[in-house]
Amino acid sequence: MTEFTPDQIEDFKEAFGLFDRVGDSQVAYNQVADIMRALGQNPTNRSVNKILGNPTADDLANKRLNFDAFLPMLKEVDAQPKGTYDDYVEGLRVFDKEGNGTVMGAELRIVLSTLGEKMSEPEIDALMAGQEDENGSVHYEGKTGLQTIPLPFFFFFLNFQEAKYLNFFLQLSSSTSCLCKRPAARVLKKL
Amino acid sequence: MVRCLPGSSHHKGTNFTMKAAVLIQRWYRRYMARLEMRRRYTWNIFQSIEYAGEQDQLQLSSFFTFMLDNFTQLNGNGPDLISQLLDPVVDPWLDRETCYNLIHVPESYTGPRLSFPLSVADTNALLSAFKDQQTLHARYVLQLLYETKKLLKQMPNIVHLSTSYYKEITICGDLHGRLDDLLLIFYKNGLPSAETLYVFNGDFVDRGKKSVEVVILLFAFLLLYPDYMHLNRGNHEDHIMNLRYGFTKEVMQKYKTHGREILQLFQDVFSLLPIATVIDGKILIVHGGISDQTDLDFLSSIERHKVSGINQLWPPGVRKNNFLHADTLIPTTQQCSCQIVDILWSDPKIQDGCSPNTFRGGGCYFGPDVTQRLLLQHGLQLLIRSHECKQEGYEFCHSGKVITIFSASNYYEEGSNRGAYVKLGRELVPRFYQYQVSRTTRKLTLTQRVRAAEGSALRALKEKFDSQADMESFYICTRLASGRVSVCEWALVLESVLRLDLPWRTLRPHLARLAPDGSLEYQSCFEDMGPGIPLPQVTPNLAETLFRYRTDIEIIFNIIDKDHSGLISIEEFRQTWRLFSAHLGVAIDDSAIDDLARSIDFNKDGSIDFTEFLEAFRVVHKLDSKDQQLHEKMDGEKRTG
Repeated sequence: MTEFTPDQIEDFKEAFGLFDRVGDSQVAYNQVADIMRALGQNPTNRSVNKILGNPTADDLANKRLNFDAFLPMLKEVDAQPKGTYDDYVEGLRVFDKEGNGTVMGAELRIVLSTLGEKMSEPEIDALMAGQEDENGSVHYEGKTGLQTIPLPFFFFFLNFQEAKYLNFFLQLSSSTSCLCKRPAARVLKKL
Repeated sequence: MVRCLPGSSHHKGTNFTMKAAVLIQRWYRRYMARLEMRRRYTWNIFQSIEYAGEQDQLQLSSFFTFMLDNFTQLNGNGPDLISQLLDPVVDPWLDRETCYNLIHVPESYTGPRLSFPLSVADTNALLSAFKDQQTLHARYVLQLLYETKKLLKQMPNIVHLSTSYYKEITICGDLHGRLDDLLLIFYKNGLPSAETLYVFNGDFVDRGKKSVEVVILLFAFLLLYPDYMHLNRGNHEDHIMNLRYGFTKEVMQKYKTHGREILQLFQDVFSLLPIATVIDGKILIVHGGISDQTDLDFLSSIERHKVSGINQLWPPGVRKNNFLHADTLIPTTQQCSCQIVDILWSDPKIQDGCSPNTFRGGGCYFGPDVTQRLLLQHGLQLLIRSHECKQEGYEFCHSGKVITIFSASNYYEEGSNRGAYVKLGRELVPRFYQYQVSRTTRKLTLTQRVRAAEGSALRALKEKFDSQADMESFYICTRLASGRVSVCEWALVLESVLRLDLPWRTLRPHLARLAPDGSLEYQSCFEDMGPGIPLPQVTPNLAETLFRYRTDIEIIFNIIDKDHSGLISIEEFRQTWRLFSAHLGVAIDDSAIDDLARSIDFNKDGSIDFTEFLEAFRVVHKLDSKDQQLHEKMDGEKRTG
């Protein structure tokens, strides 16, 4: 598990403060996942809930957390495998029935709203905005690689310089070893 | 084509698809979280710059107080300058010499010709004229203001309304010269009438480009339907705020001949606006907020036109109970002033208690307990206020007892926020209506909006970086031959020099480069600034101080420059600067000021062109003129397109 440098911790603390809407130097439980994401992690909601101790819906809305309690949680999430661009492309490729670099927008919508950690309709609309062509297909992989990736998909990966080819399944199954750990701070600096 | 991946022979099946879905969802949520963070710090930047400006404003008025208190100590021309700087305060109550009927309106004028008393035909004519970018003739503006002043004199400080006579009341917040938002509200909600009552909660002018049109419409409806239209005073309904935030400039640009007279009447009218409205004895509407000193009965009794919203406040954030000036002890004036400042400037806070509003430099932060106490004391159930921009156009706080309503959409930047208005029926349950004016018909995605706002905020922030002299001297003090400094030190310098409380570390990637060893190359902050005219050779202290207070100096210049010609005499410049430096406690010797004055007088004719002066410090606001050009271009497109 990598240790954060004092500089990084200062960065995190400042970003943490940005989410404090009340002014008590704390954030609500239901903001923790988003703050971690803003700091370069990308945990699932389930893993965050686990770290928070499986809070109830009431806890999520009302309980609050200060930075000192938050930092070890961030460390724990940082230790988890994050995955890279290629994994993401592999994920999209699953829905590429014809294997030609496109997925059907409609299918993606159904999948994202019914499987896994379901996304809401407004979330999906925002994600898909302007991505579907006249046939309703989304081109997730261009001929020349990164440059022609549709905008939101592209921006996810602005931070990854080396495209390391990883085993998609190994990545996703919980029993695998860590493959690629990038210190969150470096990711943050490229925001 | 299916990739062959080791360790997985069956990679079809729902388990597989679900994991893929989870992966996509994770990445998407991460992206949204980072976008949200960018949005938040962008908002912080805009708000900090806005409030810092207002804070400086109050410092300026404390300077005027200082002059009033101390002018006897100045040598020679002191008193003359003072009387020049402070318009001999004509009691707003008195009738000014207004000969609007002597002003000739040419045949070629195609705008509305108002006839008083106003009728619906007049207000309709105004609405269509303003939609067509026409300007109302000065003669009618003066007459309108004259009539408005007469009407307002009859009004109490606190206006009481009742829903038993009217079906619904609509309350709107800050408009800040946004004509489009006002027209949108009238379109969505209807024009003021017996069925549609309106309360406009202050800040009609400044910042936006159509303040004149907005306020003329509001006053016109006020004259047409004094029972259905109500206006509260805001902190921007004040001539010193107008000098700084654009209303004065707008009036002078649109009315070159009669601008001064018009501004004087506006001054009177603003000071006569009521400060609060109460509905059914249950709902209090004020522009800013309240404090633990707020006493509605006291406020009802004072002569509101005699009290300026921001005078007599020294220093910002600290409330004096007595004047230190020996024989002119007027505690009641001080109290009046404090109470009105609180009403126009305060903001709510989450924690209990009441503390000075250091962010704004005037008024307080009031907590839920203060709200509770006041509401209880007067048998009220709700406080509606404006004064703060909110992303959704409105916001509840203090357990639903306080509503903030803000009606200028896209206030900071295209797409930054919605505007809203609130309607109350007989049951006094608030219903909110939101809207957003958009210049183009194409709808921007959230990413595009955040990016646009962020770019604009960072540009505005970089403009503040111009005070290189300050920063240079600081760095010299902190031992750096290499031009490097740690991120921590850099953040500290910026915060102390710019006096903006922002997340500097998070913003760092947009503002400065890091060296390979992790330290910060501070020179990279000043890149793409553009070269400025080299400063005249003066002591560094003077240059820095002049620079820091450039906005205040500009305002003072504008006051001295009576005919708004852009020129003042060297002697006046010298005196002004001497006064100002005495106030600031900065020791400047006369010869340095003289040298500076002479060097600024580029054409050696004994007068100083203020624009050249400002240019010397690279302070002419580049964005302003670019904005103007852009608006003109877009207006042109709108008309033809």
